[in-house]
Amino acid sequence: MINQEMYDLLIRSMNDQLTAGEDMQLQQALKESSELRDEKIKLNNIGKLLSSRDHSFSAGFHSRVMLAVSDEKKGKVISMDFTRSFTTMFNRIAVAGVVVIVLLVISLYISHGSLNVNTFTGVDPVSQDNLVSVLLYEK
Amino acid sequence: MRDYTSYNDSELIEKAKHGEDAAFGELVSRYEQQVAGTVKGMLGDNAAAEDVGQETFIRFYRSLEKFRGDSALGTYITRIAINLSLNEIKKQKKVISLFYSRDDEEKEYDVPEERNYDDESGTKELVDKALRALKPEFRSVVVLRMLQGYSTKEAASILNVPAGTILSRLARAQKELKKILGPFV
Repeated sequence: MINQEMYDLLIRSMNDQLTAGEDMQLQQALKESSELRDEKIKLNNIGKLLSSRDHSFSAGFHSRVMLAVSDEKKGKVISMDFTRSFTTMFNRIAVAGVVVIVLLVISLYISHGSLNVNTFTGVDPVSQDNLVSVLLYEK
Repeated sequence: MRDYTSYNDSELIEKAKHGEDAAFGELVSRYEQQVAGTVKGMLGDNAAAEDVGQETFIRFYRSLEKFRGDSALGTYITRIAINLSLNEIKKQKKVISLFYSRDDEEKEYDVPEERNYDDESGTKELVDKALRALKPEFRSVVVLRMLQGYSTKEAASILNVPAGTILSRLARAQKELKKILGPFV
């Protein structure tokens, strides 16, 4: 039966630096237990098995990546062009709009002689007398 | 055609930033195998791993401008590969849970049956099955530490977890792997 504490220590020794005391304890346990030694061999073999695993992508992977990158680049250029032209177009429209507004204000001022709310709304000032006469006429 | 093999990674990145695709191609050649090891370790040897591998390089290409060289390029690319692999696993799990019951889902991560795994493809299959039997958070640690050979500190930085977490996950993963691979080693 393997001492669980020693087994945990054995696993830790494979991934981390043990303290001198822990290392001595583990070495002693390894000397005394053949089962623990077997475990160590097994764990080492598992490590070797995993690290020996050689991986590569299928043929043509590199070309596929470069093609995707090229598409990505084209997409980037198109979107950059769109953003740029959109900004330019927006600026032109905004400037033209401001010019039109200024011209309208000037023409209103010239035709009405002032720039009060009635001028902008196009409603003539209504006095109380006018209102009464309108109501009487309606009647 | 210009030979880029003599340039170091930083020089190649600068050239790629300035639109030299062949420089980026050289970086792909240099890190292709490392990315393959990471994504195939995480996802197995299948089409999804190929797609994630490709996506890793595309994401890297997109982030070229942001890469400041704080970490080694290999570590940076591996971080992208691991994150995309973990996302892919989540996606696959969602699909599995949509179409299968929980029992079926668990069956997918079954331990390999005892048969002859002596040949190279058999060994590869055995390791793949053993890795797939691990939970993704343990698998990522095994892939980084045992397959890719990163240090605990590097693995912690890639996965953005404390070094202690890496060590505890690794210990648990090794115990699991011993249970699965024990009869074959």
